[in-house]
Amino acid sequence: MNSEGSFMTTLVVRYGTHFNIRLGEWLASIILATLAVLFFGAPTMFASNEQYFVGLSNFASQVQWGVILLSVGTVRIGALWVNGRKPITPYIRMALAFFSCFVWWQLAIGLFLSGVPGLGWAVIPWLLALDMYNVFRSSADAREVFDKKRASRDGPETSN
Amino acid sequence: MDPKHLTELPFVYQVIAGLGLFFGTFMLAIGGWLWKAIKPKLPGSIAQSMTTSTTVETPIASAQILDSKVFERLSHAIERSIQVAVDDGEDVERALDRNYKRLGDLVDEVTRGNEILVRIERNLKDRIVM
Repeated sequence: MNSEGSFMTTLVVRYGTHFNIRLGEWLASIILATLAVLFFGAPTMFASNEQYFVGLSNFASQVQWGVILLSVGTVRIGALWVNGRKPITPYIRMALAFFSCFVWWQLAIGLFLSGVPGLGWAVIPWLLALDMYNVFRSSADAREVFDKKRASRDGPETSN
Repeated sequence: MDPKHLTELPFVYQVIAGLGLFFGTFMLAIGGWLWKAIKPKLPGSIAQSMTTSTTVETPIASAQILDSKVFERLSHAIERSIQVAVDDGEDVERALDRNYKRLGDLVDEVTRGNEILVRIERNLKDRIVM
């Protein structure tokens, strides 16, 4: 059982150590959520920049993408905020980082296929790379949770 | 055909690139899952930079340091105690026997302390790692 003090200390330690490590995940999640807000705020984005969003519009409308990205962004932020207090969160982070790669890829495709150089050419491919790394990181965290769960089920480790 | 723009890139190439990305990311996910097993086989500089959390290692190191310090102090205390006993004219055998019992008690205490440290370490791991 944790007292309130030790719980707060734990939180501070956890965010102190993990925020830097997971900064890329926070960043990618916040960008996704912001992108969703942009999609809602400027409803003609897809129509006026048809080539830019050709990748995404092949799959869904702008509003649908807004809903999807807002959901993905907020769930990822939520999972990062929960920060392992629930063992499912690394799996959620892994799955959604994987899905985000698809989003960045479709955006990158659209940007490059448009043939019009823009800021996105320099940014989106790196966001894709960042989320690919995030898949790797959260997958390693998920494995750690998996191992821990298995160890607690099978009894304490014999080492030490 | 020699495309001037990516716009002219045939669709099939886009699909191949997309599939490549998908499997690349999938392999990364598997790599992350197996990372713990792969890490020891990699050069130290790479492996260390990818460590999940150094904070988790700290209690383990502390436990080891505590162990070595406790035993070092213990051995000094026993030596001093025997020296005092000898100086006071006490029988060395009796002094040794007394210290042996005391040593047993202290080892028990250290073991108990160690168990507590292990529990603390596990608790910290539970709360810190993920």
